[in-house]
Amino acid sequence: MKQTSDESLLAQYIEGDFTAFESLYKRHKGGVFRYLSRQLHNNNVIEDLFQEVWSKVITQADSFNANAKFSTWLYTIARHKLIDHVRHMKVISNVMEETQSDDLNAVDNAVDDATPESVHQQFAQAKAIENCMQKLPVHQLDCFLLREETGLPVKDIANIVNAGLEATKSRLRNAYHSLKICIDMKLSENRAQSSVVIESGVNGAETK
Amino acid sequence: MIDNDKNQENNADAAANNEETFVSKIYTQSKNIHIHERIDAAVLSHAKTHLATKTVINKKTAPLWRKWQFSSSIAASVLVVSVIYMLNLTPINTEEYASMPNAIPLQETSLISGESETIPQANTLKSAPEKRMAQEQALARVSDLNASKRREIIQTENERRRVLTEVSNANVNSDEAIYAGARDIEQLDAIIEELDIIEKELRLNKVQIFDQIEKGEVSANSLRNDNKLSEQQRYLLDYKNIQKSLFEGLKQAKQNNKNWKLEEKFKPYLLSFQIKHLNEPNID
Repeated sequence: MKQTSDESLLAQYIEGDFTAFESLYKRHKGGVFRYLSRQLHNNNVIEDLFQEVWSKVITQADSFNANAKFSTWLYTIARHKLIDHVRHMKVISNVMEETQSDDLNAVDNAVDDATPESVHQQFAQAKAIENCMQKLPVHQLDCFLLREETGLPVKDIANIVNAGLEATKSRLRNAYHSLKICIDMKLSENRAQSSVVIESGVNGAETK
Repeated sequence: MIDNDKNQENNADAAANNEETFVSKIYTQSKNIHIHERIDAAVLSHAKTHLATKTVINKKTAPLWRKWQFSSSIAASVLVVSVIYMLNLTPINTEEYASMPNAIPLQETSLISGESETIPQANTLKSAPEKRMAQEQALARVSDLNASKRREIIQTENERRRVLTEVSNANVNSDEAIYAGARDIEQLDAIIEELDIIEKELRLNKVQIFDQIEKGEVSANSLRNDNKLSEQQRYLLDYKNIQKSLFEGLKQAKQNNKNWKLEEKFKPYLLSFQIKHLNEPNID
């Protein structure tokens, strides 16, 4: 069955259909939340911004250009909110170091139904990509998240981030390249550590 | 040679695609993030409320057909009255009616008999007691704003001023930075607007202190130092200081910032503050 488009759902909401908004929200809430949470680490701030984004969608729905893509519009709002926040914090306190959350509950949830080995592998990969994303330059991370969360073509991402097509392509290429190298490195480090632990465990058992 | 270059290009593309696939796969696995139910509830409730509010507003702004319906009902009434007069069916005489047995007292029947004296007029609805009640409510609102609330507003204002100073000193050529400041000013402006209304209401209630300050009979600071001000008067003085400093901050930011791209956005604020400021007492 063909899925109703985002744009149609928004139009239905404007006409007074609340369930259309529910569907739209359900479809995009994860993406928007991840987009914000991968770039900020303070949960309260993330939740506030997340609500602000949707609040803007609700109040500005009437002004949405029917010829545009909803996801482009949505992520442009999210990005502006993010920039507003970051700039604001910079201006006020110059430097604000947010504590990084090591909360990987989400990853735990994701791997509920897997075998111990694959759980371990997925956990390691998720942790690796989390760490590696934090090392990406802001512009690259922004483009990468937009690409992964929206699946939009590069042209649309370029519009959202207000950059040229070639620049956006380059940011994406560099982001994927850096992430690949970084993840590989993290995973091999992880494997090496695991083998050291196993070996020391075996040696310990033998000594006993 | 050309073939070699093409091969190299293709290899590079393939490698890039592999990297993208690999990273995407790992990213997808780590996608599961839990959004708290209360956030979902808040967003959906906002969407619902907004829809409901919009419906009410739409009803208030009556569409054309409703207006037409209203006009046609007036026309129908006029037609009925005309027919009554044409048939000489005059309304019942009040004296005749009063002499009738079982007549209801006239005051209660005035609407039936067509007399309009007892029908309340629209312009009498806002009576003096209602105005008085509104004033009392305004006073109560001010009294409710205790010291901590005042501190909170002043603290907020200090932050705004810092933003403006930062923006103006750094001569920031950035829409986003200025916009961040503008957004804050909008929020503060909303608070000030509210306070302005309260002040006007208080003036109606003959709160003398403002007149005395404006006439220069009393200095705001000396009053404050003498501790003669009531809580609400202190509050309003603080607000006046906020208003003044905000205006100064805006002016300063505008002067210092050569690339004031959002000037248009600020103009209404500057104008409204200027107007208020010119009418302000000289609080030292």
